[in-house]
Amino acid sequence: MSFAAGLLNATVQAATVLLLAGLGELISERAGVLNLGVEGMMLVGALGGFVVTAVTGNYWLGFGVGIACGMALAAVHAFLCISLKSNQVISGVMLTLLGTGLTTFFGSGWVQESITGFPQMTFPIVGRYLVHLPLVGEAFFRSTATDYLALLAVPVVWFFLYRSNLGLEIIAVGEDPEMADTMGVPVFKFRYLAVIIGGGFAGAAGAHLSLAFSQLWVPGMTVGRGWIAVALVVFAQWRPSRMLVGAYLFGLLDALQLRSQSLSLALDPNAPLAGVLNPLVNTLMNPQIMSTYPYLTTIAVLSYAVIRTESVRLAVPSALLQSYNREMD
Amino acid sequence: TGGDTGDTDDTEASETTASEGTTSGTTTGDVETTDGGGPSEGETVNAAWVYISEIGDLGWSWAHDQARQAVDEQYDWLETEYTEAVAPSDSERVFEQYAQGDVDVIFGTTFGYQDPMYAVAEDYPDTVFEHATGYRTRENMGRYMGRIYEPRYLAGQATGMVTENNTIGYVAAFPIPEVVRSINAMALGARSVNPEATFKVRWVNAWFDPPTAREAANALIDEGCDVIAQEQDSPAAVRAASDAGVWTSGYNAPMGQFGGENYLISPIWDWTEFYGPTLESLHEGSWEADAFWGGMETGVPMLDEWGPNVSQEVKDQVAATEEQILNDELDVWAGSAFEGESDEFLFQEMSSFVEGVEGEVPS
Repeated sequence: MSFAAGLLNATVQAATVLLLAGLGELISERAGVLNLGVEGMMLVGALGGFVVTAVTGNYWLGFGVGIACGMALAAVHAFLCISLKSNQVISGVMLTLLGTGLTTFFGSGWVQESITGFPQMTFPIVGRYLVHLPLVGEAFFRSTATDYLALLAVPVVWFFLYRSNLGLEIIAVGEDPEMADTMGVPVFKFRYLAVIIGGGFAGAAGAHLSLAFSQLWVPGMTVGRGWIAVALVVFAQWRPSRMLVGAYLFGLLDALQLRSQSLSLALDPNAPLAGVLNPLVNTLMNPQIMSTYPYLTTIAVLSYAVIRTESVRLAVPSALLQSYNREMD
Repeated sequence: TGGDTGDTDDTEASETTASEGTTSGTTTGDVETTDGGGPSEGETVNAAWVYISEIGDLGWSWAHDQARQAVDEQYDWLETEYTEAVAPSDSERVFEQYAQGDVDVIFGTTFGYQDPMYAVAEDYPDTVFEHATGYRTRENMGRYMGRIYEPRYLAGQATGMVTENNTIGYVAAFPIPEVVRSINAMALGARSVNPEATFKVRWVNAWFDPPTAREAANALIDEGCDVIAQEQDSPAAVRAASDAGVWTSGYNAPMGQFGGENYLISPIWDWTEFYGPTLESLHEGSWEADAFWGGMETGVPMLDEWGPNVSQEVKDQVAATEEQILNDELDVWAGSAFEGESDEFLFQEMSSFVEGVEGEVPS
């Protein structure tokens, strides 16, 4: 495999987790509920999916259970923030700690288990031909089923949010819950729905990680990817299409960090400016420096978006972080 | 191998010497060996372990906790407890809590605990402290580590014999002497049986990041490596190699179930052989602050079981070399750039690759 094709392949694989978790968080935030429990929901999804796959041997069943586990944990957040109107930030952080603690406690005994998870397969029907495309063929048309699902989820979420009544009502709930309520939109119900769907996506991201990408379970195996997903929602400015761009960009930087270690970009020591450029390139290509690029990129995009607020609509849901109290008079 | 237990109630001088022999025989550097604290002779010993990560990760902390469970089982005069997932920044508080209680000895198992532990050891001279992987000691604080480079060298021989492309991939954690030493030992082992063998190294920049470790293994396989070795606190790279159908060698814990058909062998730890004699010497009142850096002869660094498809030729070669190492007839570093270097250099200062490892250690 050529360097570029390998890089693209790795990018797709690294992006799927972020894409699934990011889309889920996006739906939740669009309804006005920030959920910082992505990491926790991913972990319960990863463990739940792994256990069911290890016991039954059916990875699709495992994937389904992973989604359900994410939803169940999200329901806790929904109950706390929507029904009890507690602080979304605190509840979300609690959710991450809860998910991490529960999966470490119940998951320690499962580390030694070995499973056969989602296999690499060519995309149904057309994949057979398209897999031979140069550069992109292997990356996009020979992958795991969950990689395809994550890509398909982007247009589905877009259609759901912008073209379906339910999606538009969820957005309305996130922008102005009082107005939505006046118009007869069930605010509490739709917020619950959005948070729980978001949890399902996070659970799917976790299950993909254990069942398709890693094919194993280790406590804490998400290692911060849930937090990156939260950052990606801001990066994507709450839009599914930009979530796709963001997830692939982060995936690319992640893949590049490892794969660039084989490249030597040093100039001939006698070339002009080699004395300046070689140390500069060395520093920029240092693996430890490179691992900060995704975060530097987020900072850059955020700064750009904030500086240019007039021309770039940030699309923060207006009622994000606000719990809704229906006036009873 | 040394450090085995005898009758636990027996406090005769001969056994005291035996357990002392295990530790002092492998002493490195200059250490003051004045009497430290610890429990009175013959009483119950309360021991506490502090781990940087969760113990369920099949990694470094897992190996230490396996040993804790083993010694807890072994000695009826021993009570053990542990705290997991303690960041170095929180460790001082944890050490202090244990020291304030009735704990006689505290084992801190990661490099980052060194300075916090040293500070607490100064405040609690009657408590014994043991720190793994560091270099500081005081009268009530010893240090310990094992020469994992010996089993690394042996596993390296196996990788050198099975590679067909003469290209072996290594998924590494951080560019620090401990990791560089392991890479070098493995490369020297591989080249001792296959002078054409070369190593490619990818830095994950984390001890624990299973998805990135897997991606690093995939990157190495894409570049033509047909054997994957790793220094990570998870079996993700081993599983990646197995899924790609290339040979693989793990680290820390037996990883045969993740390497499947293509599993070679892994350098692993059996810390029981350090904790046992250390706790016995505490029980007998003969503990002294020491610097333990034991090789395979102590039983601390070792190899796990061979994978199912390894040829007899490979097994015989490795067994013969293991015999040489155990009999002190083979110096891993002989013939390399590090021949004749002091233990202190090997332990703390090794920061370049030997011949046969591609690239340079990032600075």
